[in-house]
Formats: sequence, structure tokens, C-alpha cells
Amino acid sequence: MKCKHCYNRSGENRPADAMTGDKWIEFAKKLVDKGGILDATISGGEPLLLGDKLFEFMNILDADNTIFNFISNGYFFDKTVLEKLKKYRFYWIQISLDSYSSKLHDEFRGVQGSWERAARAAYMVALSGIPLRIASTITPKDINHLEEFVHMAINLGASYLAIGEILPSGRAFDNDEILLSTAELNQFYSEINKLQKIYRKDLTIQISSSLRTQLKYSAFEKLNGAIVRPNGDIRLDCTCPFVIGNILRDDIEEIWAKYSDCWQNPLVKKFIESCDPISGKNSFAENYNGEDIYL
Amino acid sequence: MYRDSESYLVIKKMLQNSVPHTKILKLREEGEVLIVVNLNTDTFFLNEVAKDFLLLCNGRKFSEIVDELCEIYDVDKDILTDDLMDIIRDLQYKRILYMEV
Repeated sequence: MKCKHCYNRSGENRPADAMTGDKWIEFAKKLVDKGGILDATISGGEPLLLGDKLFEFMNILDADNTIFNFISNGYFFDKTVLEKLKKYRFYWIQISLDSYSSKLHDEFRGVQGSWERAARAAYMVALSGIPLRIASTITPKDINHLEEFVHMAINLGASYLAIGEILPSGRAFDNDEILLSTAELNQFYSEINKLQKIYRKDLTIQISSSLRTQLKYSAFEKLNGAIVRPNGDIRLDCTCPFVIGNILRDDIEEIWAKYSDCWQNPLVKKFIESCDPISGKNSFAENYNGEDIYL
Repeated sequence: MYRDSESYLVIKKMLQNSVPHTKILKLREEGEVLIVVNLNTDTFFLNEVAKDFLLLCNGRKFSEIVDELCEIYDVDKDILTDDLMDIIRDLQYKRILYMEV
């Protein structure tokens, strides 16, 4: 897939992943040896592309009672995959459905039939009893159809609908037409508030706050989570371009101790302050649209 | 269920080959009503259509059950399928039924 909004430019201009399945397994063992983690969000790209090594990786964390979130485009979901996933503890499994309409979703993702596969995957997750979260991004093309997103999520048995505007990050910079204008953003928040009230008994509609607000909240705390990229880089967050180490090169325990206050780093602070409170666009550095910044 | 939604058609197609299974502690027929106790010991009173459907959930595919019920009720197959999908959703909420896809 080559999704127009992919915030991390997944699959673009990069050599084969340095983090092979075996490297992920090695990393999971190291994490558990160092005391483990409370929860892990498995994401991508598409995590199921890792094949059986993904489950070996998850098995190690699962044996240490880690709780998972799992984010997938649903394309490779079938009964076999679901049976493997059912044994883990999940807060939720998230399937991305970028529109209530198969035509719009397939056009957006660049793969015919991807909407139907995602919808089937979502329904299978719901039937299995794992909490299902549908994630949808709103573009100017579907801003007038928000209620149809809610209907889709309810039909598919979702517990949560995470819905919001597209982040100005990664491939979205090449597709400016998919970003909402200020007027459309206002329309979105106003309508979604009404829908939250109308459908509160059927599902939880989750909307994110503005990027700047999210980052400011993160900056109140010490480092309590990080992103590991396919090249091994440890990124501060998926929404800002800062790297604090590499798990293939550095000791994770040392990195964690050294960068526990990294949200207070002057460069990080400057990035947050340079983030537009409404559009989220950044005048200091663009996320996934240039080189990352090594702290 | 929101039948005007495209997602509804996906579910409808998927359910044809699915097998509904009951999760019941106890049940009793009282005329047209079926009294059902689920595994959480909650008691429910089901109407005639739900009763007929539930009693046919014995390992058969959903599409086969629809065919059989079409012989009992004088109703268009597509309309009956839609009604049964509502019933399935309701029975799932009541934790009486689960679907094996």
C-alpha cells in the first residue's frame, strides 16, 4: 500500500529493514531481561508482514504479562492469524478504515479491494471478543459524512472509533489536498461532539487534541515510552523528529537513563513551540519530511 | 445495524458461511416464547422468530438456517436475512450466541 496520508512515509526510499524478525526477538528478550514493559503497541507499516517472527516476538513479551495494542490495515487478516492473536491480552486491535466508502478508501490506500479486506478483518476481530478500534482519518472529501463513519464502526462491532484529521507529517506533505482547512476542522469538532452524545451508548468516539496540545502534555512527563523504527532508531514520539539512540547499537537501559528528561531538551521545546496550534504544521522542523534530529 | 452502510453488505456476505453457536446454561419453551439463561446466569425471554432461529443453531451454516426458516415463514429471503442479522446482533449483546466465521 502507499497511503496518501502515511505519517512516517512507510515503505518509501529505504533499504531492507535492519530490524529483522530475529532482531526484534533479540530486543524483546533484552527488554524482558531488563524488567520488561507494561504495554506494547505493535504497528507498522503493517506488522503482519513480519510473518511468524512477529508472534515469536509477541510470545516473549506475553510471557512477561505485557498487554498489547495492535494496529493493522487488516489486509492479511484471516482465521489463522486471528487464532494466533487471540491468545494475547489486548487493550484493543485497531483496523484502519479511511472511509465509510470502499471507493474512497481504496483510492486513498492505492489498492483495490483493501476496504473490503479491512472491513472483514474488523468484523472478525469483533466476533472474536477482542476490543475493536476502528481508526479513520477525515479528508475534505468525507467531512460531510461523519455519521456514516459512526454507522460503519457500529455495524462492524467496534468498541472505539478513533477519528480525526490527518497529521501534517510524512506523505501528507505531498498531498496537501487531504488536509482539512480551519473551517473544516471547526466543522469536524462541532459535529463529532454531537455524534459522541448521540451514540455514546453504542461506542466510544475518540478524537485527539491538537498536535501542539498533545506534545505539550507529553513534555510534562519524564520519558515513559518510545517508538522503535525498522532501522532500530529509538524515536521520542511518532509526531516529532527526535531520535535518542538505536537499539542495534546502544544499550536500551543506558539510553533510558540518559534521556529520561529529553522532553525538556531545548530542541524539543523549540519544536513544540513552533507547532501551529490549529494546523499542527511546524515552522522549525517537519516530521518525516527530512532528516531526523539526533539528540 | 445500519443497513444503508456499505459495511453492512460486507457483514451480510461474511455471515452466509458462518456458523452460529449458542452459549446457553438452560432453556425452556413456553408457547411462542423461549426462556434462555446464558452462562452469566442472565435470563432472557425471546420472541418466536428468535426462538425458531436459536433452536436451529446446531452446527448449521447461517445460510442453511435462513433457507429452513424461509420454508416456515412466508417472507422474502433477503428481508428475513436482514431481520435475522438484527436478531444475531441482539443475541450477541445478550451473550447467548457467537458466530464462528
